[in-house]
Amino acid sequence: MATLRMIEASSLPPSQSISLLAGDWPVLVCRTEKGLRAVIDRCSHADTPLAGGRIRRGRIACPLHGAMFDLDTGTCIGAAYRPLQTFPVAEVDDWIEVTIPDDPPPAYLRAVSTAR
Amino acid sequence: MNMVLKQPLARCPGDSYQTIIGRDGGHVHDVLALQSNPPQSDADIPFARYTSQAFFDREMESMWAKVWQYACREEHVAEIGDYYVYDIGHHSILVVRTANDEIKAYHNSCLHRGTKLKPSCSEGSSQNIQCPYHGWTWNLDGTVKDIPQRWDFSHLADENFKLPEVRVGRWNGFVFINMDAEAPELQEYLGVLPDHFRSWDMSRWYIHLHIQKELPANWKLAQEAFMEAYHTPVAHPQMTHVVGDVNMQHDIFDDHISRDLCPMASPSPTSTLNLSEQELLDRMLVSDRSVVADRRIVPEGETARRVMANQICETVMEQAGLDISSLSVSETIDSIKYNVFPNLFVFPSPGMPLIYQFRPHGADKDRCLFDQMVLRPVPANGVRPAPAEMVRIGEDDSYASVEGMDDFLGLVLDQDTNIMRWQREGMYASKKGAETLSQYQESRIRHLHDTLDKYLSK
Repeated sequence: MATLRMIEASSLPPSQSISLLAGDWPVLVCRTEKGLRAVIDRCSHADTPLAGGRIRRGRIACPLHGAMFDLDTGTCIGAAYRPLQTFPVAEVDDWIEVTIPDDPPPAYLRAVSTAR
Repeated sequence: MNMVLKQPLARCPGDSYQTIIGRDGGHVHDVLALQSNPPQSDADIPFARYTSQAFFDREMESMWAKVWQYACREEHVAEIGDYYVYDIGHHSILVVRTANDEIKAYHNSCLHRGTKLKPSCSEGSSQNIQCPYHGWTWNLDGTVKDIPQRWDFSHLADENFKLPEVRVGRWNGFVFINMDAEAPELQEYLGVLPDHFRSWDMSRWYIHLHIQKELPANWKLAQEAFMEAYHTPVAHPQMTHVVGDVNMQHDIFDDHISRDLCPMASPSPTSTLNLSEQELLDRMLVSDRSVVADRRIVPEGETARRVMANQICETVMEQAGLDISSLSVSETIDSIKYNVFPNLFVFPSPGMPLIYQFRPHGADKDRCLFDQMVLRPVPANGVRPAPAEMVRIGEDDSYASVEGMDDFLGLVLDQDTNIMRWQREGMYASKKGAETLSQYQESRIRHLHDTLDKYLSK
């Protein structure tokens, strides 16, 4: 596990998300009504980035086809797609810090689907 | 031939709605002073209009596909790219915010092999519209953005593959759609409604609670329980002591607009309790008790209605900085329920701000969906909260199971649900085969059928 200091906290407004590369992990950091959440930036439906998806009530809706995920748990809502991987995230000294696994990300995360 | 009555119709003995609002003192809103209930036929209405699949199919083809109908509120599609899917029967309409001041709607079906572009009952946001099957993609304005492996479609031209549009009309924060290119404009369709709503600005309110209930009845049968209060003393006896019912006023203005006016904090003529003004206030039914939670005292010489109006006025000012002090007591507290044909009910009074909508559940003539939305004023800071997420409950689920639902209203609606099932089954079991309506209290049910017939005979 490694905790990485990513961006200044003030650069992420409410209900917005930002796509970051934490180590080699594509991570989407979201600011929900309940605080910061971090998930893998790859929708488990069509394997495309979630960045830009609408965040409401602690959930993100994929901008491509609308798959919806709970940002607390990564669980997919209303469909049977795999849960999103989640990452510990915190605001420390006005910075956003994300904790990633020691292992490198799986190979499929290196290729972004051509859909979109 | 149906006989048309010539004599003026009888009205409920006891205080009329006009008597009650006159007693409030102060001005009476000119719109609420209106009374309009034109002569109608008194013929029986056949149950086949509820039970026949052929009749249901005619409604779908000749009525639902031709009328303006509520699809969503503007706040559902607040930002560019936001979308909301509205379904009616087999039809599915994708409503999209395409520009700051533009909302468009499309038939929700891919021009390639028909897949729904967005799932039914879904909402979200996307900067383009991509079919989840092969990835055909449109811009928000409906023009083709991308057809994957374009080399394999040399036989088609992009300009012929724009998403077919559905007409959109907007009024008072409501987004309506119409699938018929020939239909009159929304403003014409709404008749007297915009004029009547001069003092009720519904765009200052947002959806605080949204419950969608599956009801065990034909869509007309279900909504007709909300177009008369003749059943109230028997089906909801607990209500009679605090609100009007058989003395309600029923108005019919034009083909698409009717209304009922029901006094709050004013016992029904059938009530057997003689409640004091204080007891009336204490037992008052409001759409959401959390809006007016503290107990108030009715001073000597005052009425529960006036105290309630003051309280709502203060609460709305406090919560939303919205000044409604120019509204009369009746405009503030009463159940003012406008019906927009075929299936929308709008309750504009700040004491009971609600939206109801009924529609067939898919293509099932024996089931329908009842959307109930409780409104709250937009907070004083002007930041509009996101509209409440819809909570879907099944036929056997109690309304009381939904967090935030008023217990009293939940009980009343649960009582209605069972009656709807029994009425549906009884229509099939009937030897007589038709319903006999009352002349005044159920006049708006007949009006619904009369307007429906105008569409079916076009």
